[in-house]
Amino acid sequence: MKDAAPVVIAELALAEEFSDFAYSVSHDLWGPAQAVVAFTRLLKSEQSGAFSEDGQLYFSLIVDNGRKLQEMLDGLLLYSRLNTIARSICEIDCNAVLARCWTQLESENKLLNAALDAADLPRIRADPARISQLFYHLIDNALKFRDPEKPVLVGVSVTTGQKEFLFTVRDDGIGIEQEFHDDIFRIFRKLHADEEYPGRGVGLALARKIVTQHGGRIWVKSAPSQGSMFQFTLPVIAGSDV
Amino acid sequence: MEILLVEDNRGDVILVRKAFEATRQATRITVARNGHKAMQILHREGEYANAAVPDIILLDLNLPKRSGISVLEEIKADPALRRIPVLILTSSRAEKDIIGSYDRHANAYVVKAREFETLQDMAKKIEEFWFSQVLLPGAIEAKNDGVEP
Repeated sequence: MKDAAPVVIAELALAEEFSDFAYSVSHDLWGPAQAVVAFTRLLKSEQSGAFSEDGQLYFSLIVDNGRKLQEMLDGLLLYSRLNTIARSICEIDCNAVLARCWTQLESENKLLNAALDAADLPRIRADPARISQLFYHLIDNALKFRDPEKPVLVGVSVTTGQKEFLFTVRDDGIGIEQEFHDDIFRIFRKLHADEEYPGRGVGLALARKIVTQHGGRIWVKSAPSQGSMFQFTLPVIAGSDV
Repeated sequence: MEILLVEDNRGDVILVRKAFEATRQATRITVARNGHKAMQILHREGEYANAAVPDIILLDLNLPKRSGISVLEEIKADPALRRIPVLILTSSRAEKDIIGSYDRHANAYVVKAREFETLQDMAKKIEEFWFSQVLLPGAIEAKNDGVEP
């Protein structure tokens, strides 16, 4: 395999080029999208009398879609930053990370009766900002797709193996059909209309990227109305870089 | 108050102008669409011989040709210009831009507001702080002139 090394280098260069590209696209496209939204809103507020009821509806649709584009670009930016910003590994107390995410999300979602059932979590060696993002998106997911008929209960537990930790985040929410169990980890993939569940379909894609960057795997076990159980592994010793 | 706005994006120029329209004090905004023009205005070169000295400079970083950072460097290296507060006004949150600006003696680093209402609020705060709260070099002389016998 004389050619192996140059091919690997070429692939790495390509990956780097792509991550730069994704970063530029998401960062530089923000401005024009912003201008579309801002001037449509100004036009609407300053000259709304000149437009019919249909015209007003078109204004709202332009603004809504412009914002949607901005939010998608924000998501793309977060995703590409996982490629462009180097990981800094240190020791993290997962209990503290989880507690912070929970407090933040509980108030963001204005949930008064949501309960967290958290086991004692280990200290791990990983990138703290990324692990925080990982817990944030998994808990966010559990809270967002709650079953309106049931009290909200989110459980977080861990099994410690020889080589890896197996984390479990489970909820009693609406669940996911089997056929979409892989799909949901793709960026911008949504299973519901925006009106039903807002969001841009970025969180689980970020979660998967973060787990794989740390040398782990992530998957879901779920069925409609049966809740969901997201599981991911992280190496006990910080894994090789991806 | 005289503001020099160094900004290449036409949309942003209009939005910043409109945002300052709502502030209490009368502000006059001169716009330079690139770094070269900004330095010509500040040095009162050629057609800008009668340009007013700005009380404050709002400087975008991402400019065509000459970067905002290099404009900042030149202003802060010039004894005749370096006392004018320079507020970086950019969409970048990159650490290298923030640190790079303060390393070159930027007086503040402000991320462009995403919503027009937030931009108006920012204009109001800039006005309150930089035009009312803070004493700028020109104002000190004027005040002393009035108080000293």
